[in-house]
Amino acid sequence: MQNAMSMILVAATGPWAAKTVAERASESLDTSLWAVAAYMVLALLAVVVLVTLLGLVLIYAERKIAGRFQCRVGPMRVGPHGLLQTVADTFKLLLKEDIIPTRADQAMHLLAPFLCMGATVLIIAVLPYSPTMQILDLNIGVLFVTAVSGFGVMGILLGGWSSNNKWSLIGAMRSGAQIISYEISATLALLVVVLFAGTMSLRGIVESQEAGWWIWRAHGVGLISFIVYLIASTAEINRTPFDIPEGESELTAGFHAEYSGLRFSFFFLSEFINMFIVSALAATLFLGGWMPFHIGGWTTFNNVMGLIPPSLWFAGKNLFVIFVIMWFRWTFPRLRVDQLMRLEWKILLPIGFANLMAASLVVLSNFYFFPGK
Amino acid sequence: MIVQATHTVLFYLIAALALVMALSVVFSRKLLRAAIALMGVLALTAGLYILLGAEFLAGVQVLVYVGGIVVLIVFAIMLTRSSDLLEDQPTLPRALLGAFVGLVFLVMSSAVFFSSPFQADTSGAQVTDDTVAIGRSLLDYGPKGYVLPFEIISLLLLAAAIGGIVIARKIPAPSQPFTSGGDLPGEADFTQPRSQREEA
Amino acid sequence: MEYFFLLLFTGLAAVLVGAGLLTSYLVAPHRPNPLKNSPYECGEPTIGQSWVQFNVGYYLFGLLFLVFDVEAAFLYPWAVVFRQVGLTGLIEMGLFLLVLIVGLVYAWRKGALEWV
Repeated sequence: MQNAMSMILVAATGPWAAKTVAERASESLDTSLWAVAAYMVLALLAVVVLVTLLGLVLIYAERKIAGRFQCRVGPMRVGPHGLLQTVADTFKLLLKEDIIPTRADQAMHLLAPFLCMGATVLIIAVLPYSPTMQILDLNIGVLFVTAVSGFGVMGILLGGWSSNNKWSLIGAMRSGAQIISYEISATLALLVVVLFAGTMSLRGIVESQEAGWWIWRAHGVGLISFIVYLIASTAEINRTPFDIPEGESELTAGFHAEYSGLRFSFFFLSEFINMFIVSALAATLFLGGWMPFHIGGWTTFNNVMGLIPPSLWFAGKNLFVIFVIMWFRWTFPRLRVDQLMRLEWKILLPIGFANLMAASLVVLSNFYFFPGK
Repeated sequence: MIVQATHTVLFYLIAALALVMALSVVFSRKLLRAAIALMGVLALTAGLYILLGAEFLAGVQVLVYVGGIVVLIVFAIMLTRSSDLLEDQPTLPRALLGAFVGLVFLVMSSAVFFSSPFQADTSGAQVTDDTVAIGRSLLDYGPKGYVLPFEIISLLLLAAAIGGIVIARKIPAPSQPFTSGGDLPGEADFTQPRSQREEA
Repeated sequence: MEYFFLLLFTGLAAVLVGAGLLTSYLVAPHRPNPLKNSPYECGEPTIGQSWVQFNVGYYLFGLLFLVFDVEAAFLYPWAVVFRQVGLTGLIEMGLFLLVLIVGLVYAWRKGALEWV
């Protein structure tokens, strides 16, 4: 028991030179296949727990925050302060009838939630939660995340198309057009950090921020790309103010209008996990990931900051970005489709290109804050 | 040992699945299913690239094909009137043309297949990070570099963008965002195949 | 090894969703009727096909996206090796992007970036 406790403690606060679960597994490949299997089971369990936890926490947080913004209290009935509301909702959705319209393409209607959830689970697996808590680290990390999110787009298009319903189809098409448009700006913003770090590996990017986070280390270039990324990725996850694909006042629910019960809940869950992924990427690339807040030369301050475990740093930054995205929803009105396209193609895209060129000049002149490290 | 075995099993599994998917792209009567099967083929190809150790290539394959081409194909299908997709039988010239194109492709691909030397790379030079290797040779202006093709690609992309704009802008915008058809007098009923309905 | 884990997670996603749907199938009621299974259009009876001809704008933006997506595929390796290559890399990519920006300017001037 004590051993297990200390293991958890080490996992949460351990030294930074650390390995991913996949690396540990491949190291024990020659000695014991059981150890490899154990690592795999560990990784799978971790992701299942994370997905469940994210669903419960984020949906509750969304409802509570929405309530507070509107001077309400939010859910209060189930459990203390409504904490168990999401659990109750999950059981309700589980017991709801699964209605499949007669005109729908049954098999494809079933496949769509698999695509959406598959994309989110694959991306969750590569994120660095702390030096010791990362399941796998890919050399192409950033590219992998943007590429795999393409499956999510196809899931949405498939869901709308297979439902054979006008609302669904219009919602799916709008959603597809919006996601692919804003993906360019998001990619350009992410590329700025890849340029600074010189690697696409997410762990490598976090480790490159030991001297300072990229958001403020590069004289505004990082800040601009952070803002561009935040706007573009809010649009990519179809959240207000970019929610015309779902706009309940005109399309009832968009691409998942014909989904009910648990099938609907998987789309719902993947949307919330996508919000987590977007915030996690923003935290990892721009806000230093699990790297504590350090100020060059302030040894005492840095040591105090280093006492906070890296996983808490990551969680804190992540929750902050999630809160900002939820805040958007109650601050900005919904954009019209022409405004949406103008914002992307005429404002964000030119800014993104100019910013990328500025970033390459910064790298070329090696002109950072705290250049020594 | 076990790594090698897994590698081999995965290769045959992915290849077989890709073949099944590719066949269902061709034989599926429903366009939606064909598009999804096409996505499957392209994603499985990325799996083959990973088995070859080319992870950057696999990432680009998924990024461009699954996230780009398939989405574009879906948009292109939605652009057509649903009636055009209910062709029951292709006309004879079309069938002949299709057979001819298929034959040409078969000859070309088999020529490549038989002329390429399939030898395992025994030099043992494993590329650890193919992104760096690709980046270096892309920007290298020496004799082994690919900087000229790289710059020409930008012209190609420019031509694609301009061509797309010219073609897509030529289609006059319909007065209504969409029409359903079949419910107004004089309008063709698109629920019927073309041969069975009276053209308006 | 990394990619074997990815395969594992693909399986996990399938099992997760599959198990959920199976549980729901076992415990949820099934009482379909024609009215319930008809397409939902806020209570109005459905007219015509739901598969309608869409605005050409979707295709146009899809095409423009594809161009910039392919360009991004080249930007990734460039960004990774930029530190090693230095100024030549900047000039080469500057030329590459310049040509693409000409395309963007063309689209802008032609009004292709307006949503109609």
